[in-house]
Amino acid sequence: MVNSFRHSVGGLINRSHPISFTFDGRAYFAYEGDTLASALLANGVRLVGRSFKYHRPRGIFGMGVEEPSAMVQMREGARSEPNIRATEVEVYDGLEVSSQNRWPTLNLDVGSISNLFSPFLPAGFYYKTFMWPATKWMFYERFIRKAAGLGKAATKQDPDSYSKLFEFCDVLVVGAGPTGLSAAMSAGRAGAKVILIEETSQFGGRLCFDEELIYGKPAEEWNYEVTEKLAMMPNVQLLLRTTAFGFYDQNMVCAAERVADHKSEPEKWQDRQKIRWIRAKQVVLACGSIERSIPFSGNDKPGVMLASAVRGYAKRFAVRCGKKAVIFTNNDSGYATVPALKSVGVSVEVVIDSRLTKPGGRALSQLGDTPLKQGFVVTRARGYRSVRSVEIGRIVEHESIMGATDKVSCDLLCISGGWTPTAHLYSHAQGKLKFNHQIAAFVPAAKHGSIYVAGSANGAFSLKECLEQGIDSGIAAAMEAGNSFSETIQIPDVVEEEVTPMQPLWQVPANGRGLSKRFVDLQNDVTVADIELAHSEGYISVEHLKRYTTLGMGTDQGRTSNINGLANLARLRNVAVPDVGHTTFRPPYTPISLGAIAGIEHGKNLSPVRRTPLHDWHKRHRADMQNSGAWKRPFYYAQTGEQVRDAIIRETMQVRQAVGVVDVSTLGKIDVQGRDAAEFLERVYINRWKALPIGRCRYGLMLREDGFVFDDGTSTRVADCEFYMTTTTGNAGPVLEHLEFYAQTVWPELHVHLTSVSDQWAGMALAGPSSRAVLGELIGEEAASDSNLPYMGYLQSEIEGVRVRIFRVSFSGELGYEIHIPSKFAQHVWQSVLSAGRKWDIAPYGLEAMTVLRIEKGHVVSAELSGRTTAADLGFERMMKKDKDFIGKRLAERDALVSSGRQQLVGVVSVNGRPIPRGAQIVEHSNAQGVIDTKGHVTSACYSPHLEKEIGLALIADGLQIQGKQMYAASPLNGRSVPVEVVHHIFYDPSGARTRG
Amino acid sequence: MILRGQELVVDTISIPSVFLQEREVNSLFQIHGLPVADCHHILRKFGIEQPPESGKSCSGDDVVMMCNGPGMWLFESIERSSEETLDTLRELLQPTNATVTDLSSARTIVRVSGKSSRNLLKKGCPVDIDSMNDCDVVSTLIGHLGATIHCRKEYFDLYILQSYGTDFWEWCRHNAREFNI
Repeated sequence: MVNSFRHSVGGLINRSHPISFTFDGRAYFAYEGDTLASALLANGVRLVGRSFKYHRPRGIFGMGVEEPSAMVQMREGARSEPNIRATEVEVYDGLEVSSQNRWPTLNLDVGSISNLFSPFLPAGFYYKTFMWPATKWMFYERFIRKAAGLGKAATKQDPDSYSKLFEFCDVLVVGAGPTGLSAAMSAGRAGAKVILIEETSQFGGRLCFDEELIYGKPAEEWNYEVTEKLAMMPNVQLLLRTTAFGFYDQNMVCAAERVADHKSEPEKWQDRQKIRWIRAKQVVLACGSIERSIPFSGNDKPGVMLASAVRGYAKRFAVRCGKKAVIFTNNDSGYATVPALKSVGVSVEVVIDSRLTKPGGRALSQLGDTPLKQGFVVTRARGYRSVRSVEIGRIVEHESIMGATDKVSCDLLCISGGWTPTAHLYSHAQGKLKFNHQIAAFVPAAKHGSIYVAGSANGAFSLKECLEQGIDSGIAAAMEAGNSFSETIQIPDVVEEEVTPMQPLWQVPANGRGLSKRFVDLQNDVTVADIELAHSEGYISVEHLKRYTTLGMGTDQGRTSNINGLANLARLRNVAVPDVGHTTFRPPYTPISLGAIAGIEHGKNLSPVRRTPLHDWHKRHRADMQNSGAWKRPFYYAQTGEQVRDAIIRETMQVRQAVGVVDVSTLGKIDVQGRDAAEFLERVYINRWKALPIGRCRYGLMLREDGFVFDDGTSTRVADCEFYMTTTTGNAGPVLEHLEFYAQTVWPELHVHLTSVSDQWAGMALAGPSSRAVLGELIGEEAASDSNLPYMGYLQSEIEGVRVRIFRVSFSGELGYEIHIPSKFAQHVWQSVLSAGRKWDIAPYGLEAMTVLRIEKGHVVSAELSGRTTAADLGFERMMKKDKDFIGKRLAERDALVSSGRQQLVGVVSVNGRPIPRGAQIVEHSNAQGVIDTKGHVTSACYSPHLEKEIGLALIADGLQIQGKQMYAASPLNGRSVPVEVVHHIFYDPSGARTRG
Repeated sequence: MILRGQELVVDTISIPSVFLQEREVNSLFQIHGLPVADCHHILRKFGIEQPPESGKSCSGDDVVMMCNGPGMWLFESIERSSEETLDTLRELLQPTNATVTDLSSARTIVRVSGKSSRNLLKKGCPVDIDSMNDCDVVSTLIGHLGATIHCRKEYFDLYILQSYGTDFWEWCRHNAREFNI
């Protein structure tokens, strides 16, 4: 098999491994080692896409990350990805690629009609056209959004996995061209732990295609040798296909590794991509530089390419980008494309150099016998789907074209408008740039923090300078990272020849025929005329210019266009380029897939799940497990043929009439120890603690500093200097944090230590009139008797040989106990409790039944402890001791928190028997307007099997004074309004006789 | 890793390079407020001569003592029961202001070994795993979960809240796929 535009020899491709792929459904073949761009060019495909705005035909322009035009839709189905640069896609067998932003076909795109109307669609067109009437914007927006964009995101779930990785090193080297390789080698030899990352699939950068000599041998060989040596060094880690996309605080560089993008699908064990968070002591940025374009008429046609890219395709892939070429340059590097093209059999018709100064010696030797026209420019490229010819003319003082233009027939135009150092990462780290007039580009102003910028990223373009700066920066970075090195590393022997400075050419003046556009930004279809328009309308700041014209936006972020745009603005403003400044570089340097950003954290891995020690038992017994914060908790236990409501009623009545047991392991538990533990609790809670005897529990309420209720729970004096505190499930973490803050910073004089024991102790609440009998069966009747274990009492005991803590507390309104067991024995004890309770018909109950029981009893939970309620609002005013100090006391006494009109906790009962909507607003009239006329809101609601009524808890303004009044629970969300009677918040056993019995 | 031309190719992994094992916890305690100067007599009782430096561990007859903060120690006994160890520690700590809390049921210990164990931990742990040496102890996060990592020559012991144990085990299994767990 032969590619029509592939030279028969050469290139770093594996010719023994042909590969087939499709582009827009048509089959092509390539070789292992090809990129999609090189493969398409080798097959003679010039037209690969349509431009964003005008749908103009576009081809391949660059060879790497700078590519503004050749973006494609990769793969099909769930693995489909839009807007991928063809220059960075490694071809694999079976690859399916399609073009974007065209309909119905690439060749015949209906959207290209917009090109005909382009004079009416200048920059700012949308802002001017769709402003009237303002109310219609949403209408226009639908159509604009439909027309906008390029590729299409996959609509199916991505089947691949992605991951993240934390890395640390002494020296991170970004870029593995000659500068990066020499920096990594020298830092590695100095003993530093080095990570070298390279965006492409090969090390060497320009060494892979520039005809340079190192030690008299082709630079390619030096590249091989150095790479192999680096691979053998245990302290050096080499990463290919990895893009450093962001530089963050404290030298954290984020890099995206395309682990398996070069395969049809990853291996089963493999991630498609990885994000590496690399924390480096020192960073060497050897990111190279990007060749820039020259705006002239028709400079966007397929076949107009960057000279370095054409050179690269020829040398690295043995690809001919055309048959007859013209080279248009303003610097010496463009001449290097002449021998590269000749080596693959392309005829170079003429080299057009806009300079009048004589090119350097090397450039002249590369020119050979190719005709040279100095002081000339390409004024126009002709052709539609491909360049067919160019017009050239003499330029005078960069302002006008003198005399008649000549026409040169060609199908390839290679442009070199100079080089722009890649300073993005340096700028992310807040490094400042300065304008270097010699190379007409912004370069890093100085070493910034722990960042070294070396080689062409630093504006040094000769190979010798790159190697030299690489070595120097590598050693300096290694030493600054704490390594010592006393050897001298020789700079490789490189022939350095004189170079004639470039002369900036920011645009070729329009030559009287203004119909053909001069593009500055190929990706966003921004022309010189757009910049002129923006300037004339007052957008003279670079940031405004960017936003008005979209210059430098999009996936390429203006890599080939920014400086031309800035310089043209400077020309219009009649100031120097540095006076115009530049826009801000922000991460990411290249687009990063959402999959890589999400990593493993999606689906069931979105956040960690907590399971109680009884989780498996619950699952085995048909519990409906629900999320409760991070926890999984049993909602109810379904019995055959039973509806949810029936199950909840059954479980509730089980507790009211016999005995039930519920898993309360999720409660927060804190071990408070130290000789000042009692004093500590005295200051934390609003009620008294110092006098609490050993073996007794007490309910406590703690406030925030602002006087609102923070959390509640019981604490038990286990020993003289040891308390066992429980908190609500949701506040376990925040309460411990709150207490630690006070223990460590506010009251360091108190001797108290806090340890979370939430995971140490599993908990189960045994509740119901028969609970004492069940407990007696477990620990003996005497031990469980009221005299031995009174209400709010505590004892340590053993159940089936397991040391347990038993608390006589109740959340249900019934006689109840909490048994806390070391977690590893929880299932064992749970089973024992169920066995012991069998003769009293014990049954497990779930979270929902527990909720019903506590609403009936009027106990508060997080719905009432909402952060906006005071102790008095919840009926705990008398608990707040006036004669002691505690957190929140001062602000709890402020007027706003003690004045009348505050919402107070009350009960509500449905008058017509309809369920009370949770969260409903309490209003005085059935037709009142929800939140506007609200007097309060429903915090909790349920059906009460005991009362056989729909009941709820609510916070209502002056609620305690309006008991007996009928109001309405209105839910604006679902249009329901239920008449309710305001009652006391304790519906069940208000005297507490059952609890204390 | 082999070089083919200039391209680095990672060999497909065929031999397991990460091993996961849940290690049973017999007794584990958090000791608070025990300065290094006061801990010699406790350590000697368990056959340890010198207390560990901050962020280090030391081992004696069946016990490991890990320093996980100023005056804070994680104390593990492999053989003794938690009740026995708790009583012993309480007695030893009596003359000091230190306190001891039983965490024997509070942690799941996952032992990670194999040549890629560091690479697995790097996937979720924001500390420099490569710089950890034998007896290093660090309290950090792994996969968003709080964890204490104890580095030994041949393995890492990861102390995770037991309620997250199942989830963390799955996290390890998922992330270790590429190392042929």
